[in-house]
Amino acid sequence: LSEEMDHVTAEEIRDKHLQKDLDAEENQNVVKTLRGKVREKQKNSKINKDEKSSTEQLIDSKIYQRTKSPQTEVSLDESLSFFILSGEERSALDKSSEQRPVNHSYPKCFSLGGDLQNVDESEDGEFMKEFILTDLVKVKAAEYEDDQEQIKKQKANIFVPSSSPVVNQRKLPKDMMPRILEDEGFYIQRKPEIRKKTCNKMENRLLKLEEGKRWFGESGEILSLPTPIKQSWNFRLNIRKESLNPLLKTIYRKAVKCDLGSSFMNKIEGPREIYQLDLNIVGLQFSHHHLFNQEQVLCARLLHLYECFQDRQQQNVSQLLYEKLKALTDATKLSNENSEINQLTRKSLQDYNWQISNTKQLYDLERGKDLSLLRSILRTWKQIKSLRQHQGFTSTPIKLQVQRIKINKCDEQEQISEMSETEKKTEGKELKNGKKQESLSYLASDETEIERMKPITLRPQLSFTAELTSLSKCSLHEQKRRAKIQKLKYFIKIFYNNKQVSCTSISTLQLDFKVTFQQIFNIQLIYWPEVICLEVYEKSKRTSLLAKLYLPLPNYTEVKGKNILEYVEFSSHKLVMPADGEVGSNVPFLLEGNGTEELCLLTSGKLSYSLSWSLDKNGIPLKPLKSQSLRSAYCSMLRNVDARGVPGIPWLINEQKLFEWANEVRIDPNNPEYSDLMEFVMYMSLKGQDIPKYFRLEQLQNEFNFVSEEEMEKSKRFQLLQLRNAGQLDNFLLQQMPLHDTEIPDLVFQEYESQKEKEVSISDVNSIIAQRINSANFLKKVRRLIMKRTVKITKYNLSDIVTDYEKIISTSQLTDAVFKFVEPRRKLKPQRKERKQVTAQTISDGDIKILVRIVRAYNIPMRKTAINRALDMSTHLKSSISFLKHKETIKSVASEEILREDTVYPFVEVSFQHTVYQTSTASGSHPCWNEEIKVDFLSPGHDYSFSSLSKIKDNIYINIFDEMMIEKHEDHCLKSCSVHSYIRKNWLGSIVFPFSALLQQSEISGTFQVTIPPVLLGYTWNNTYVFPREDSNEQNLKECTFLNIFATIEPQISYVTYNPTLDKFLDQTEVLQRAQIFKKNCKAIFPNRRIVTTVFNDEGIQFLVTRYIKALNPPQQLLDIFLHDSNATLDLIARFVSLIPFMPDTPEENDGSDIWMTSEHCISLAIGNKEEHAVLLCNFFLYFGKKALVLLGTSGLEGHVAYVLTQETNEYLLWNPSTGQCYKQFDPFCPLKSVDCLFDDRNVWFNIQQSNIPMAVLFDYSKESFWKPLLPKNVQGTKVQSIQPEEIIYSETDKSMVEDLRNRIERTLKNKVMEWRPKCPTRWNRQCTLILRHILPKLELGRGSFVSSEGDNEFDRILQFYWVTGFPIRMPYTDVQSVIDAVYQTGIHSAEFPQTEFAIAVYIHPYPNNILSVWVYLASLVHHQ
Amino acid sequence: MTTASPSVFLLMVNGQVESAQFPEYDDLYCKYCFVYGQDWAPTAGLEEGISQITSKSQDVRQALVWNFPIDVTFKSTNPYGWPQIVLSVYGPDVFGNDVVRGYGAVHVPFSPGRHKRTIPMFVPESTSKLQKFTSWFMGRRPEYTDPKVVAQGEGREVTRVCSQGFVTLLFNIVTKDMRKLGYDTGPTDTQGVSGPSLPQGFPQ
Repeated sequence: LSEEMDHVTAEEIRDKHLQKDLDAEENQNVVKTLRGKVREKQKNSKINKDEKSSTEQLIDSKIYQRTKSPQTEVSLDESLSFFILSGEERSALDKSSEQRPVNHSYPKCFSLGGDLQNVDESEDGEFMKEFILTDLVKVKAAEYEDDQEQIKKQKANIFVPSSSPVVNQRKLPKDMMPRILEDEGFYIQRKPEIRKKTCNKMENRLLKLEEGKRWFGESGEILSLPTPIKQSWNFRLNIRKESLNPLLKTIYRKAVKCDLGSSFMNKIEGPREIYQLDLNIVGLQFSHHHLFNQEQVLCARLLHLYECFQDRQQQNVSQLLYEKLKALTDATKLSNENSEINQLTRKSLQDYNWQISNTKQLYDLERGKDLSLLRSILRTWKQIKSLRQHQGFTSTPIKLQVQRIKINKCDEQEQISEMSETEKKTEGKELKNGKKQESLSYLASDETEIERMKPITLRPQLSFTAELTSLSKCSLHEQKRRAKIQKLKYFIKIFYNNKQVSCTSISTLQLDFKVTFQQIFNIQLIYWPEVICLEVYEKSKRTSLLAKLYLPLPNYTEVKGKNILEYVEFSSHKLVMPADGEVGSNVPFLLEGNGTEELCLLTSGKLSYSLSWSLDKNGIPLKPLKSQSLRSAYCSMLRNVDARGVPGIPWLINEQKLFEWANEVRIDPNNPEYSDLMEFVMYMSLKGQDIPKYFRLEQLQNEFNFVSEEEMEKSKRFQLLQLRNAGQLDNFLLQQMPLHDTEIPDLVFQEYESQKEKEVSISDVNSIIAQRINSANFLKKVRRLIMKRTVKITKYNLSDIVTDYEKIISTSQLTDAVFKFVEPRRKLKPQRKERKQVTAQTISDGDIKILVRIVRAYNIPMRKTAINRALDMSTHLKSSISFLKHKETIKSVASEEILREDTVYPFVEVSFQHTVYQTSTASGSHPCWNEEIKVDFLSPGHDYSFSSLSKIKDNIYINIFDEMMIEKHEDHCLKSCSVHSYIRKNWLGSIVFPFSALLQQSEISGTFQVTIPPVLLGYTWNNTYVFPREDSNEQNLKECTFLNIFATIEPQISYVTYNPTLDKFLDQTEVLQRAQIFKKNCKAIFPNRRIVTTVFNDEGIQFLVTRYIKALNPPQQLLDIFLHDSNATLDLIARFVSLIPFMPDTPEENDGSDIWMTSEHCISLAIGNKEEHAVLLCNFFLYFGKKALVLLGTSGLEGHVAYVLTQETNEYLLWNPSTGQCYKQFDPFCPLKSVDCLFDDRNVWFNIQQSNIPMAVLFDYSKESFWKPLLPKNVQGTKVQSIQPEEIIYSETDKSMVEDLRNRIERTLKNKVMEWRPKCPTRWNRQCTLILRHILPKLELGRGSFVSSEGDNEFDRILQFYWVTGFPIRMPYTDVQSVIDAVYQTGIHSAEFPQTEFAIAVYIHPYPNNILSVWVYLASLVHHQ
Repeated sequence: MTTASPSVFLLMVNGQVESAQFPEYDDLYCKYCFVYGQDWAPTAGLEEGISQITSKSQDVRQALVWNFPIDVTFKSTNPYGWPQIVLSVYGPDVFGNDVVRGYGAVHVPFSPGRHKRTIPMFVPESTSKLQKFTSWFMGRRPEYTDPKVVAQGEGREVTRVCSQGFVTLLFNIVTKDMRKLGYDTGPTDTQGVSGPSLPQGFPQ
């Protein structure tokens, strides 16, 4: 449309023609046919005003009207509407003729409504009459028009332009070749693209017109404007990376703090650093004062003139010119006298003459000035004299004398000597007479006389010798005035950097309008001087500020030695009305002498002062060093520029202009007057690029600060808001923020502060405890810091926000869904249906439950027969003792008895988040419970988002206990009395898994080995072994207990795998990028398998994981123990690694961007995560020359784990670094569930085998079809530098600290056990404790699980009197709390039997670097009755 | 008003969910709830509500009128987290399944007085054509897990939505102690306040 509009606008004139054309021909035809048609139709439709006909009629009438009154003027709109209308007509016609010529491209958006108004109703009526009446009255045969004829008729009217191309000749004037400008090299703008067909049609159409050729240009194409659409963008994104000019690359520069603050000079000790300025304020002298009377005004003027005169005299320009003139005339004379006039001399003569005339002019000018000055001096003097006469008193001591100097025309020497003596016309006139006329007349006459090049010979001299009229003789006005003067007092306040530092004493105004202070102020500086300002105050009845004076800062070369007074002028525009004969200030007045002159004077004056750096006692100037001052001066300058209003240093405002000016004037750099300026210029040009142009930023900031910073800091509410924003307010989170500071309890901050303090300093006596806490805190801090550096965006998945119908991957699913309607309701073969996953956000409290199903257990240790006997036959004490003594021989008998009796009654307790659930009690060593326990689950803070769930570090404990009934006969009530039975539970073992493992895997199911203490007192292994699996009939499994469990979270929480896209780091090398890509690719194949290629070290630098692997030396102490048994050494080392405390890490930060420390750090900090442990163990194994790799995978119980894989001669071994246990690849009870990724010091391999179960995996990582390597083979050879140290240096653990810790633990445990038994007394059996203490150290190095300790004689003795159950627990030392928790889990304290005695022994086996193995031996003893 | 310094300010919202314009759907009902910041707490009234089902009017306007009242009072100490009303409209589809017809949210007006708000409504789109078909077929259109998402900016980038219609709301707002606590919420607030507490720079 726009295109056509263009045509219309451009070719308006053509439109006119076109319109006329159409008007003339087509329209009439159209009207004719239409009318005929209407007639026909109306007849047919029998006056029924059908909508169609009416519209047609309307159009008809419209056209009728149009033809009747042809429009004379054509506007744009009308022509357009005409176009539209004609188009419509045409289409209407087309419809009727059933012939469909290609429609006009005109839009149909015409407005019929507008046309409707044009309908002439009367005409319409006539129409109706004519046709309707005839139709009604006459009976006519149906009119018939032959189709052929009709078509013919229509053909005459209808033109269908063909879409075939038009020959050029038709478009162009005759005999003209098309001229294509583009071919001739002209630039032709692109024309809008039109389809060739359309274009041809238009051309054909145009040619039909009379003047259609006008539409065509020289090239034979339709004239058109260039296309308005821009084809290219102005901005092009630079996609290419390498080809960028290195010069154009942006380089990272560290931000440099602006050092503006350094203008503050630190007060450093030493006398040199104290700077001192001496300000000597001498006095004020007013050049005008509101108490001046007229005489004084004149006097001041005279003084001013005289000063000017003296200045001129000093410069002595006229004298110089005069002499020059003389010399020139002499020279001309001389050359004139020379008769021979050659070419040269003539030329020089001419030059002389020219110079003479020039000099004469100048001389005249200067002399004129001198004379006028002199004249005005004399005039003023005359005025004074007349005024004095007139008022009758003298108030100024001024006196003028004029000397005349006789000048000898011939020689100057004489003139000078004569000067003193030739006082030919000394006008020593007495003041009273004041006869000056003579001199004046003389002057007048003389003036004419010395018109010819004579210097002025008059010299006025001022003296202050005139007597003042005494007060009594003066007029009343004058008396009052003088009194006023004496009352006026002045003082000056001194401001240093806009702070008042001192004030002068108050001194009175003297009669000669001088104020003398004569005070010296010593200003000791801390801050560099920026502004030194003096404020002059006038004090009559009230004090008022008269003027502000800014003193220029002293140059650092100005020391006290020079005592030159400097003057600053000041003035005040204060309005003071005159009262007693004075003239006032800023008030116009008339001088009495000559009535016409009106004056308006402001109070003004001069201040004399001196400002310089002072000297100390030794004569060393107390001024800053040059460099320092320069810098600080720069700073102060900046400050001054900032504060625009300071008038003291106006030239600093625009440095640029200053430079320009300095360049233009070409000031002498050696001129000491400009030294300041030059320095400034030099400094600026040196530092030029650093000077910021604007200083307003800070000022604007000030406007925005609605509260000062300190107030902001003080506001508790603000602090609280800040803390909340930082996410550090956990307990205050859900509350409203109080509005007033008073409502905020200090407790909140205290808590936060204490938390902070705990982080900062731990002052524990025990170095081991301190080290543990410190390193944990250190790691936390490092972690936080690095996490901060790596930008992490919490990404939402669509499934988090939108619940959609089940994901549809294939169409078969869809058909399934369709068939679901038809399929039978109840299938014969039920199929397993996946549980629906629930997104974490939708969950609220109580929705989540943990389901734990305890199926069955295998090989639970059973009570020793001896004890059974002992309990059963407690009355037969003696026999039992003898029985015990000979237990070896009777063992076979006992076992028989066991078979008969159920000697163990195990039950299972599941505890989570301090709630305990219990199964029923079964019997036997191989019990089957098949019970489901629903564990309630509460998320802290009621936040069930995945991230917060994954932060839960709680463990799920599954403990197996033996329920034991103890019957006790009350002694005193004989045999008839009832028997009290007590239930007690003996801990047998446990399975622990973290909640995060459950969250990650959604279910934990299988048969797991129960961790059983190495010694279970009173229990022995059953000799009927049942294996959970038939295929594993291995001997070493005989002494293991297994538990079959199934655990899951109900409902299943969808485990969101966060794949944080790490930002590209600056230092990211090609290898690291490759690693990222590799990881992405691997994740694409197996999204559930783990892969880690790059990690951060503790400094936040990314490294390839391979660089962590390097052979490292284990502690020598460990190597020395089993010198010959290499397997034992390996086991020991694995145990050592497992003793390093674990850092709880959340699954969230496990994969994305993990932080691994080097093995050295791991050992020295004595803390590490699973991967660090694995790396460390792997490094130790490499030291022994083993082939070891780190394996990443998932464990059934622990979730994400890292294992170490070692290659033996014919098998692969899997080492769990967290327990130190070693599994064979085909061990069915290996907790490892999936093998995802391997790495060593050369490469990383990703498991691309179909199955990742350890038993099914082929560990031959050299096969690329099974293991996808990160680095290709050719790169593999090059070994990269490891980030591990050459060798780890171990430090010996402090034995005394270990002993201290041991005591502490023992004491706390005893206290705790008593605390846990609030109702019953707790007795401690010392003898047993002692024995246990002896036993414990042997356990550490004892290999194998069940160490026989009962052979001990001492123990035997106890067993004679007591029935003992107990066990040692072993754990790495992390903190005391974890030890307490472990003891609590065993439930040993819950013994109800009143006579129970307890024994606790703690032993700590120290390894190097404060790595400790804690043994706690717990025993409960029941006395045989 | 005699208390020297109030510790909270109150915001009373009443009004109604007047009507809706959903050209293609009929028999709709709506649900509203409020989303507000940590420092806000409702003191009285209902925070959530479900309206009756309404049918289209038979005239040309084809309006769906609920006239469902809203009446709730909030107290707060901090204007941060100003309450937003979140509306979700549901109705039956061709198979008679109840599906979501639109989500929308708007802030409760800041200044006291009568305010009319027209909120454009939208629904999340299915991820694929096939999915779209199935969800249509099964009558399980994509929905927000939590309608409050529409009042938040976080995580919206993962969704695609399609606009549906409009809902007109009417609010009558009354505030208490806002000015006293230094929050100036516009000219209409000045009427009820006496002279001295007027801020200096206020153009009158």
